[in-house]
Amino acid sequence: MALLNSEDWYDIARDTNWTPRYVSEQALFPKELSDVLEMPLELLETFDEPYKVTYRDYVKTQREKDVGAYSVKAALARSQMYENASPGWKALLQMHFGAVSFLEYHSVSAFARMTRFGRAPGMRNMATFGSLDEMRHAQVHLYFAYEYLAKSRTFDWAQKAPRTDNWVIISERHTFDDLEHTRDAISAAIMTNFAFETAFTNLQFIALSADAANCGDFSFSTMLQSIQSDEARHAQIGEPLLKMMIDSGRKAEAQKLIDISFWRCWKQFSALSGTCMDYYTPLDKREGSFKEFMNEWILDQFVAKLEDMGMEKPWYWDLLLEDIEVFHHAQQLGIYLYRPTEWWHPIAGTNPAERAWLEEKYPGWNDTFGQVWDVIIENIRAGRLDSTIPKTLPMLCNMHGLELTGVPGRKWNLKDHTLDYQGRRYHFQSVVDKWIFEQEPERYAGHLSLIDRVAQGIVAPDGVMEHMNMAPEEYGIEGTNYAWVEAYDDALTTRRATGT
Amino acid sequence: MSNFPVVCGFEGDYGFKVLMVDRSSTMDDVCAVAADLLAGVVVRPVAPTERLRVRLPDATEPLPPTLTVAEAGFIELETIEIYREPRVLAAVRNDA
Amino acid sequence: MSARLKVCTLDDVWEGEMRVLTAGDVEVLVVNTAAGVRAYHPRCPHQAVALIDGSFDDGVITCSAHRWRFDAATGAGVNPKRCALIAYPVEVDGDDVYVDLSAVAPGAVASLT
Repeated sequence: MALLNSEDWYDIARDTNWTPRYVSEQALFPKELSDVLEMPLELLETFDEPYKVTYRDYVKTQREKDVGAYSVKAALARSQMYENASPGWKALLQMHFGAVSFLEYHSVSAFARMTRFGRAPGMRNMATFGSLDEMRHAQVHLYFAYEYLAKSRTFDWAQKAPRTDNWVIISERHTFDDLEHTRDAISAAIMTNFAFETAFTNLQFIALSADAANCGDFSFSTMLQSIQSDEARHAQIGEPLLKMMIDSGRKAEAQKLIDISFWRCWKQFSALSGTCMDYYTPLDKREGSFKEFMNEWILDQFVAKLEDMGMEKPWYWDLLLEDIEVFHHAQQLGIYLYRPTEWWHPIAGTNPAERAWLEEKYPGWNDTFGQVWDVIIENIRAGRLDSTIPKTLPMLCNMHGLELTGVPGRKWNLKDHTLDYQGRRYHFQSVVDKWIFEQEPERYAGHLSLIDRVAQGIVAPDGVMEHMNMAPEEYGIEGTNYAWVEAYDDALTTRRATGT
Repeated sequence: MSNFPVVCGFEGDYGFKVLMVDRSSTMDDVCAVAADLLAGVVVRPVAPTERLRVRLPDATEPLPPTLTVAEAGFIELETIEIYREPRVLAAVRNDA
Repeated sequence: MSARLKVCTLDDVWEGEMRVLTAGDVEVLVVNTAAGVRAYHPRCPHQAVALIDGSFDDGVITCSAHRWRFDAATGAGVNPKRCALIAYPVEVDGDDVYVDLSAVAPGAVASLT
């Protein structure tokens, strides 16, 4: 007997709602966990996922993908790709696996919560597959990282990171706990699936995959693409929910969810993808600048989608455009200077040719960020390596948890956006980060940044590394052993020889 | 050991830094700490023709150099700016 | 007036194959299906990823990025359904394949409606 086409039975199989008789709807689906806006069930039951998949399809497709990714990995196992990679590429891999692996795993539970507490059957189905997807993503990351572990102990952070209080990890946990793990299923879906997954993951996974292929790292490139191919299915959960919120007159609430999650994701990806694309990827392998990728994936495609749905660009859009020019550059300076506090081995990415590229892509870079790099370069050339690691802590933002940065040098612009709330002073790196806090102060007020912990005597100033669970063998070191500065000596020699 | 933290924006730096000083530290003392830890590290060294001053954000005038942290009424993690001004090498100054 | 341009010959794209070729200075995805030769804008309507990086099997074009699937003979979305590839009208004259570029505005991308 021939199997039916899935189209013929999909709707019937999907419709798994029932009318509870022994408990109330509210007991089954408490609004705090399910839908704080309590949208009508009839509306939620119209949830229709555009990209459909049955469990049979799912298993078949996912197996094909895994065979594809793992076979590329196996074929390249003896390729010495990692050993021969540039220090920048090594730093990128080390940072990526430590920063991303645990987020995939945490998302397993975020989707599981949507599966349990979503009142729309289609949403529950898609979230089930989403949970399985994230399990796959966590496993792929851990499996790849495990292979790299033999080459560098930094990859231990793929599994270790979430159990530490490293400042980068705190920043990530704060962000993604806020978006994924501490809200009702519908709010979490809109924040996670729409803002985070539809827009930003493309930066780290698709755009970076192109850079990886250029570098000849086909194993990593395939892994990233394979992971991102799952996104179509579970990222689509957010869109129908957004439409429903708009249809039930809740456009303002929907807009606020997007405004909050979009900015929080922006800060994370700026620090992660921005440094990867504009500093760590070898110059001749860069597919484009971080700004160019942001323009293509975010500013064009995501905004078009948002406006198609009748939503608006977030209120801070002009501030975002300014931030794209500067934030990741400032973060890169901090990441380089405070390298012992990171589990990976940062590089500068600012030799003369690289600076020329940065100036071309971000006019004014040499007058601003270049001014700090000049001080660093001078110290290295004079042999004052100790002076390239500050002996005092950076200030951290009480929202994004990264350094509280601005614009250095000749156009110096550095502002601490403070807020006094219930007897405590909070410090924010931008007006938007402060605005996010003000939307729901009680959500954020109790968190102590690393600097708060030092200020309150919970952590001694010289006890920060131990508090971050870093042993001396794990401290990040200069990824090139300062060799990059030799290009400046060469340039100086050339100028002297040619009299220019 | 100094245990009073201030959030310092050293003119020209890319981000704020936390400096550990004391309640009894004068503004000149705070500048000395900033010079020691940040000048020649993230910003250029302090030249002999320069001196450093402390001002509150958005202020146009510096705080008096002999004012202490306690007298200034700083709270923990008070935000200040440190900037350079030409050093006047006269024997007598009016604002000393 | 139509912009009818020769894009290739039947020898250039065998049945069961797809290729990106140029008509004038416009890139066109030429697909030789069981129902005849078809021509499409070479980008997926989802996120403008190049369709040539995907696969064409059993009459279905699958985009490599997120596995969206399209009926190669009509361009209609198979999964998701409510989308389509942008099609250029095709005319086969002897061995030569012509496309009419005037049917599609430059830079247009189908949206999910």
